[in-house]
Amino acid sequence: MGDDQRELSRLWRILRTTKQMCADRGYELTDEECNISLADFRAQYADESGAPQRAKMAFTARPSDDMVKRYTPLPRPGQQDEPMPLIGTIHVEFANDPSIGIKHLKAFAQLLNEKNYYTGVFVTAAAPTSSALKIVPSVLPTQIEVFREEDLLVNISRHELVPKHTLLSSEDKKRLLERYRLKETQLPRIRMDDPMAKYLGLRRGQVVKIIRKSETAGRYASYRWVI
Amino acid sequence: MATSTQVPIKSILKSATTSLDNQQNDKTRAQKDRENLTIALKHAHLIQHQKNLQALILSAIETLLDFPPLNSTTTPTSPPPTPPQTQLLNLLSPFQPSDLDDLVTERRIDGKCGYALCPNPPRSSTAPSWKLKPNTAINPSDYCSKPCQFRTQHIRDQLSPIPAWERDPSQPPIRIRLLDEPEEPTNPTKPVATATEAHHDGSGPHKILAAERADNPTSTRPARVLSPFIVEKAPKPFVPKVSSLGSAKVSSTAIEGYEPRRRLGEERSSVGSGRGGVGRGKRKPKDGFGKVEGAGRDGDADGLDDLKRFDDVDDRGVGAIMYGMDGEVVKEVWHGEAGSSGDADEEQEEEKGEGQKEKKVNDG
Repeated sequence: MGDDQRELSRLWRILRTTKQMCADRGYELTDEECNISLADFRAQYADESGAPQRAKMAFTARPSDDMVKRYTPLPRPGQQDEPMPLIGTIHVEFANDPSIGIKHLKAFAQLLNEKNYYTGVFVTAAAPTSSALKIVPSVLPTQIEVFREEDLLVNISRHELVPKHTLLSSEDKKRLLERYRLKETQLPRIRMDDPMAKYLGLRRGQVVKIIRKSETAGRYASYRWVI
Repeated sequence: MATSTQVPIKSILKSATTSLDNQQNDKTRAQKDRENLTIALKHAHLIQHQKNLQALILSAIETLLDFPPLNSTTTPTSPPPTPPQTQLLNLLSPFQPSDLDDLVTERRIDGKCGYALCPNPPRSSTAPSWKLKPNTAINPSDYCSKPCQFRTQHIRDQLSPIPAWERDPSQPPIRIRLLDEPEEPTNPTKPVATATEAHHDGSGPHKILAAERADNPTSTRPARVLSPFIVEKAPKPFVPKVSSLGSAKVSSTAIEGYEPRRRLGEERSSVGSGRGGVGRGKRKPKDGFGKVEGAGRDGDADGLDDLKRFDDVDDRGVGAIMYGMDGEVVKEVWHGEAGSSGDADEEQEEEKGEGQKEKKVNDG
């Protein structure tokens, strides 16, 4: 009983962080969904015996208009039609298997393909094998992000030492580079496996604006190029 | 007034480059760009090659996850399929040992024995969870039985640790061999029994493997690791190398045109060489020396004196009379005056002839 309670509250925190993460990225999720109470979580996701059901926790979210605009690339010089936004529906699944291999991720990729989801988030209890992680780049353009459960227990973006990260749209990025007469290679960089970059689902080539508190200037903005 | 002194003002700016210079600059820049492009393309191709091979290995792991293929699906009209053993070996060729470890892990997760040709579930599916797991590359609980473990180990030992994209394409690929066995272990209980037997009497796959590698990994005792058997190298008689130039009579080992005779088992060889030295002394006075330095006589005390003496010469020129052991005159060598000092080769040949003669005399 005690184990179930612990597991339940653990999964409650994980689901809350995952939903907050999706909301921070710009997907359409309500505040009630993102800040679900433990009692509500128990009522929704626990079975009769009180054990949580990971399969029930899977959810899907659509991107907001603002997010779609942010992910739309600039039209190329000779391009006639409007460029397609590089974002779509996100699907999140939670896996409880003791070990995650190639087969699990292949099955997940196939599901994303069938249902035509743009991005998939796979939250695993155990570490996936190294060859399973190699599947991720092989199923492009379907994007798979793999998270460990313990990485999602706490929402790192709410930590007081973590500055605010905002993704720039391609138009903003162009304006920034023109304003400072820069090439993008001249910007400071942030790695794609940085915890905040993973949290925001950043892709290579994007520019993120980081706003820090400053004792002298009040606020201080810096820009980083994702590599 | 300083009107008359009008000097044209010299500019401190760099003079404008002429069109010829510009052309040359363009040319050199274009050449540099081309070189840089070639280098960049070369590296890009290398990276692409590596990516292709990594994708190939990943797809091979995916294919081998579903091994062994079911035989029931074959139809009589279709051509006979390649045996799974051959398929396995083909798929394994770009692998590193770590890739094989990945495959074993994936198969374990999938509920199959780590050996790709075995359809049985691994031991870990039935083994109690509290059992200690050895922290080695080969985990026995990933396999259904000991033979499967040995077969995988056998393959793993043959895989090259060099990544496939760094292997030398001119070298033929390593041919991986399966541990020879006539049939697939369809009955999981039987191979276990044979494995234990084999393990006890020491004729197991380990021993075969050890024999193949020419070592003995099962034994830890130094007496068995270090064999006391010593192989001596057979002594080879010294054969002087003859120069590759057939026309030249001077061989590579010749010293100043003289061939030292060091044949084994010839007692007289040292004498011959001693005399040769004397002969040299003899030949020296081409330039008008009247006397011969008997190098053999006053230089060494190696018993040459018993064999021969060199007498001083008379007005005829340079020469020597040789005496055998019993005082018999072996040979008189007389050279003419300055003009008679012919080829060194001729003299040498003459000397060789002398040596043989002398030997004959001595024998007799």
